[in-house]
Amino acid sequence: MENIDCGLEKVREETVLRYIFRRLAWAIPTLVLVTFLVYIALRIGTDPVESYKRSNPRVTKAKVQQYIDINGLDPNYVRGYFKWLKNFLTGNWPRSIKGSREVWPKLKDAMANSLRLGVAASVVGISFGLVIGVIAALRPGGRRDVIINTSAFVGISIPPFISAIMFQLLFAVYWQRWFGYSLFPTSGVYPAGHTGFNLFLMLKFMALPTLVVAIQTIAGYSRYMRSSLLDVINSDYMRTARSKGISERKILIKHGMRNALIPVVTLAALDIGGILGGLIITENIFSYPGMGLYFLKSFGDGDFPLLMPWMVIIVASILLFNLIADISYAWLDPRILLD
Amino acid sequence: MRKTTKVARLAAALATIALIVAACGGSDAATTDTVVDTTAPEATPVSYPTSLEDCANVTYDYVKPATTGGMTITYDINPAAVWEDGSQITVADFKATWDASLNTPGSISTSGYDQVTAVEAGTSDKQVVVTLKAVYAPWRGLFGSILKAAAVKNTADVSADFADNIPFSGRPYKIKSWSPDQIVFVPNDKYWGTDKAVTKKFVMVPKADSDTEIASIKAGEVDFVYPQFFAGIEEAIAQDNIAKKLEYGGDYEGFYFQQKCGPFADPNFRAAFSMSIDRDALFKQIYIPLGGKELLQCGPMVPGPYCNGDEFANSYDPAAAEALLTENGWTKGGDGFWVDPSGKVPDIRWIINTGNTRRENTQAYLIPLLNAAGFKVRADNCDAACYFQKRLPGMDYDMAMYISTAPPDPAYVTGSFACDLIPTEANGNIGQNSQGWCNAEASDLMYAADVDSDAVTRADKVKAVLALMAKDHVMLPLMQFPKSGFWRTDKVGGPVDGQLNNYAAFNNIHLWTDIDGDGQIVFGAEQWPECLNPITECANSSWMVWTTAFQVMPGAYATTNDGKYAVTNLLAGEAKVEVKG
Amino acid sequence: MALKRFLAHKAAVVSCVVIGLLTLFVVLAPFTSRYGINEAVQGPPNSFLTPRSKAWLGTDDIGRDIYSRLIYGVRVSLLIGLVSALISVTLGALVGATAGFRGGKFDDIMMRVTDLFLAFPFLVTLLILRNVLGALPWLKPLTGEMDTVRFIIVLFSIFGWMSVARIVRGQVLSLKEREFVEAARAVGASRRYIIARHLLPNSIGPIMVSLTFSVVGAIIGESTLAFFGYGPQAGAGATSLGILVGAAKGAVQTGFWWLAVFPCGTLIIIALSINFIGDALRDATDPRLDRGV
Repeated sequence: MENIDCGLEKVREETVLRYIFRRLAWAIPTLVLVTFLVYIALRIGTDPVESYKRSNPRVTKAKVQQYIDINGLDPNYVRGYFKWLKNFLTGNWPRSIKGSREVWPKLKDAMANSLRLGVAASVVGISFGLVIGVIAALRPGGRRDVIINTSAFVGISIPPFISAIMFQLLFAVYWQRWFGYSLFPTSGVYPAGHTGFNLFLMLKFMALPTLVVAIQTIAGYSRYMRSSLLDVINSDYMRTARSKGISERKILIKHGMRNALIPVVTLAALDIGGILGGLIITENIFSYPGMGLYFLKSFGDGDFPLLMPWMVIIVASILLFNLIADISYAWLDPRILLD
Repeated sequence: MRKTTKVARLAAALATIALIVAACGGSDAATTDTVVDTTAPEATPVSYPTSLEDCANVTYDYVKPATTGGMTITYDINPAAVWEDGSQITVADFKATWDASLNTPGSISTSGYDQVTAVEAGTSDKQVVVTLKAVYAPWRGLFGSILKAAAVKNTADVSADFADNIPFSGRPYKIKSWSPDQIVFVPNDKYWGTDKAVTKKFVMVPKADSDTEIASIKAGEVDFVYPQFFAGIEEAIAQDNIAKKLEYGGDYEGFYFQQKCGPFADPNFRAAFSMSIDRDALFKQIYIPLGGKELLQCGPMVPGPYCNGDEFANSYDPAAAEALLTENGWTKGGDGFWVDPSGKVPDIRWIINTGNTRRENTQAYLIPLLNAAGFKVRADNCDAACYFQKRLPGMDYDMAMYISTAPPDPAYVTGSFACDLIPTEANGNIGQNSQGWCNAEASDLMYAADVDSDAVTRADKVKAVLALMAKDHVMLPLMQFPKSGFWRTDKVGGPVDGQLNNYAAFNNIHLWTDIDGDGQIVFGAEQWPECLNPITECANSSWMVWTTAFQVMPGAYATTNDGKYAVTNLLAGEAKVEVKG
Repeated sequence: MALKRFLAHKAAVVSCVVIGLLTLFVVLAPFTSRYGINEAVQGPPNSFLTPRSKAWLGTDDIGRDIYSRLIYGVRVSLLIGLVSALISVTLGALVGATAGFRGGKFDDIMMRVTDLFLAFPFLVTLLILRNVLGALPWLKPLTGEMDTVRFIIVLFSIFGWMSVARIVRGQVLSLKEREFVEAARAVGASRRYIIARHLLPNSIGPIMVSLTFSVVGAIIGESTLAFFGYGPQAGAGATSLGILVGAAKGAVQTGFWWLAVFPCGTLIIIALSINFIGDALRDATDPRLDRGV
C-alpha cells in the first residue's frame, strides 16, 4: 500500500507543478486581454473626455489634449490601450479629473479598508458557514437541519441593503434611544477628529459592516457545505466504505470532508477573489471608505484615471484567485489533471 | 418521458402567464417606454426655431451699452491685520487676488475684476487704491476673499496651487489638515480681532447622504448638520437633545422655460403654458409639507429691497391661456393636446435631476394636470452631473426646475438674463443665460442698474426687470427655500444658529462652544470639496467655500445674515468710493 | 413522479400559492388597486398618513396610496423578472447545450469567458454593462432609453444568460454519454436535432431551476439598481418594487414605518417564495434521487 501511495504522490506533484506553470503562462495574456476589454467598456460607458470637460467646464483645449494623451484616449482603441498600459506600468499615473489629486494614496487607503473588512467578513462567514453546514448535514431532514436551512434561506433572500439598514438602525440609533449610548457606530472608519491607529476603535467601526456581509456569507456557505456533504455521504463510494463497517463519524471526517470541501473551496477562492469589489452596497450604507465607495464615486464622475487602476487591481485579484482555485482543485482532486 | 412533458407543460404555463403580464404591463409601461424623436425634420415651415439644428443658427443682435466713466475705491487696511505667520496683510495681497481671479485659466468668475484697471498702494502699503474703468454698483462683492500673495508662486496662474490645503489664514481659525475624510481647524494665534476662536479644535467630516447625516447626529457622532431640507426631515431628526432652526434666505426654487429654440420659442405657447400652471395648488401639495410659508412671487429674487413681492402674482389664468392659443390659430386635437397652426403637437421636455424626491414628486403631480390641460409634457431626467453640467448649460431642455442662490447683490440677474450672455455658436457658447431670454429693454435696464450707484434708483430698475420677466413668462418662482441647521444641545452651544442664513453660511464657527468637554466640535457636511482652490472650478461649490475658503480667507466686506454687506475688521473703516462721470 | 416529490416540499407548495395569488392580484391591477399610480387619496394635507380605511397601507410624501403603488410596482418588477429570466434562460440553454455537446475550442472559450464574467463583482459588472448598453447608439432601437423598463429587461437578460449556460452545459456533459444520445448519433441525427430533441428536454430540470433563480436574481437586481438611483425612472411618478424599497431607507428614520415595512416585506416574501420553489424544483428533478428509489 505504502509504496504505491508514495509513487502516486510523486507523480501528482510533478503534474500539479506542470499544471501550475501552464496556468501561470496563460495568466499574463489573460490579464492583458481582460484589462483591454475593461478599457473599452469604460471608454464606451463613461466617455472619459466628456466627463473631464464636465468636471472642468472652463478648461482649455490644450489641457484636454494633455488629458487625452496621458490617459491613452486615442481614437484608435488598440493604440490608446498600449499608451495607457505604458504609462501605467512605468508608474506615470494620470491624476483624477476632480481637483487633480493623486490616485495611488486614495487607492491604497481604499484597498486597505476593504481588505480589512473583506478578510474579516470572509474568515468569519466562511468558517461559521462551513461548521453550520456540517452540523446540518449530520442529520438531514431533522429539526436542526430544517431550522438551519430555513434561516439560511431567509438570509440569502433578504437583499443586503435591507439588512444593513436594519442593523444600522438597531445598533446605533435605537440603541442610543433605549440605552443612552450607541453600541456600534453608523458609519466611517474612525470617529471624527481621530488620527493614527487604534485597534479597538477600528474593530468597533468595522463590526456592523462585517456582520452584514458575514450573515450573507454564512447563509450561502452553510447551504453549499450541506449540499456538498450530503452529495458525498449519499454517493456510492461512501456506501462501500460504510459496508466495510467503519464507524460513521470516522467516515465522515476522514473521507467525506475532503471530497465535500473541493467544490466549496473552489467557490470560496472565487468569492474571495471578487471580495474587493463585492462590498459596494455595505460600504455605501455604512459610508465605509473602501474600494466599493471609491468605485461608486469615480464611476459616477466618469473619472477614468481613478477607475482604470481600480479595475486592474480587481481583475488581477480575480485572476489570481481563479488560479488558486484551479490549483487547489487540482491538488485536492488529481483526476482533473488528466484533462 | 412523462416527467418531461409534465414539466414542459408547467414551463408553458409559466410562459403564458409571463406573456399576459407582459401584455398588460406593456400598456401601463407604455408611457415610460415611448421615446419621442425630437430631431425629426420639420415637414412644414414654422416661424420659431424648434429643432436642435435650428438652435445652432439662432443669433441675437443685442449690443451691450458702452460703459463710461469710472470709479476709485480706497481701502485702508487695519494696521493690526496680519496673516497666520505674523506677516502684514498689504496691497500685494489685494493685487494677487485681482491677478489670480482675472488671469488664472479656469477661473470661475472674472466679473467685476475685469472692470479693474489698477490696484496700487496709496499712502502706504496698508492703503489700497483700486481703479475701475466703469461704475460698478456691486463693488462690495470685490475682494471678499483675499489671497496671500506669498503663498503662491505665480499670482497670474494659481490653478496648480491649493490641491489639498489652503496654507494661510486671516481669520480666527486656520486649517491644520485636510483630507477626503476630514478637515481639522485649530485657532489662528495671530488673528488680530476680538472674536478669537473659542474651541481648540473644530472638525468637519463628510456624510455621504442625508440618511447617514441624520443617523450620525442622532447617534452623537457629529454635533451639527446643515442638511438640504426635505419633507419628513424634521420627523427624522426629532430627538430630545437635538435643536433646530429654520431660516429663509437667498435660496429659491422655480420653473425655468428655455426659449432659444424648441416649443417655448413661440411666445404665445410659452405664455399659455405658464398660465396653465396652478402654482397655489402645487405649493399646497408639495411645499407646505416642507414647511413652506407662502408662494414666492418675486421671480429669480427673494423678498427684500429689490422686489415688490407681487411681480409674479396671479400667473395662473387658464381661461386666458386658452383664449390666447385659439386666437393664434391653435386647435385642440383628438387626443386632447394643443395642435399648432401647422398641425404639429409640440413635445415639452421637463428635466430635473434624478434622485431628488421633491422634484420627482412635482413632476408626478403636475404632469398629469398639464396633460389634461392639453400640453404634451414628459419627464426627461438625468443625474445631477449630467443635469447641472451638461443639459442646463447646453440648453438641452424645455422646462427645468432647480434651486438658485441669490447673493446679496442683484448683479447676478445681469449675468443670468442679459441678451448678450446667451450661449450661441456665434459667441462661442459663452454666457450663463441658459433660458435664452432676450429682451432688449430688460437687458438695458440690467446694465444700467449695474452702474447705478444710487441704491433707490438701482432697486427700481431691478424691479422693472422682474416685471418684464413676468410679462415674458421666463420663469415661475415657487418657494424661498429654507435653510435648516440641527445641533445637539448636549454637545455644542453658543451662537450656533446665528449665521445660517448668511451667504457665507455658518461663518461664526469660531464662537461656538464645546459643551460635552471632548475638546472638539464635529460638523457633518453634506457635500465635500474635491480640492481647495478658491479661484478655479473647485470653488463653484457652495460647500467647498463654506467649509474652507470662507473660514480662512479674510475679506474687505462680508455678507450678513440678513442679506447685506458689512465692512469687516480687515479694514480700519468703510472704504472710500469716488465716482467719475 | 417529479411532481410528487415537488409537492412533498410543503414550503414550496405554499410559495406557489403565494406567488400565484400575487401574480393574479397584480395582473388584475386596475381592479385590485384602489387609486391610480399618481392619484392622491385626498386633497392636502395628505402626506405620510398612517394606514387607515382610506389608504390601507398609508400614503407617501405627496399623499399617494402605498397599496395601489405597491400593486403597480410589483407588476413592473415581476414583468422585469419574468421576461428577462425567460430570455436569458432561453439564450443560456441554447449556448450551454451547444457548448457542452460540441466541446472543443468553442466550449473552452465559453467556459473561460463566463468564468471570468461571473467572477467579477456583481454590481460592478451590472453598472458597467448598463452604461455600455446605454452608450451604444445602434442598440437604441432594441433597448430604448436608459431609464425605461425595456432597457432594464435587456440588461438583465444579457447579464443572466451566462450562469444558465454553465448549468445547462454541465447537465449536457453528463447526458452526452448516455445511450440514447449514442443511438441518435449512430442513426445519423444532426447535432441540432440531438440538442433540440434529446438534450434540452432532458435538461428541463436544471433549466427550470435556473429560471426561478434568474427571476429572483432579476427582481433583487432591479431593487438594488433602484436603490442606487439607476432603476427604471419611467416617466412621471411611475414606480417599481425597487423604487418603493429604495425609498424605505429614509423612511425608517422618520418613524413612517409603513413606507418601509410593506415594500420590503413584499420583496422578501417574493424572493423567499421563488427561492423555495426553485429549491424544491431542484430536489424534484434531481436524477440522482431516481436511483435506487
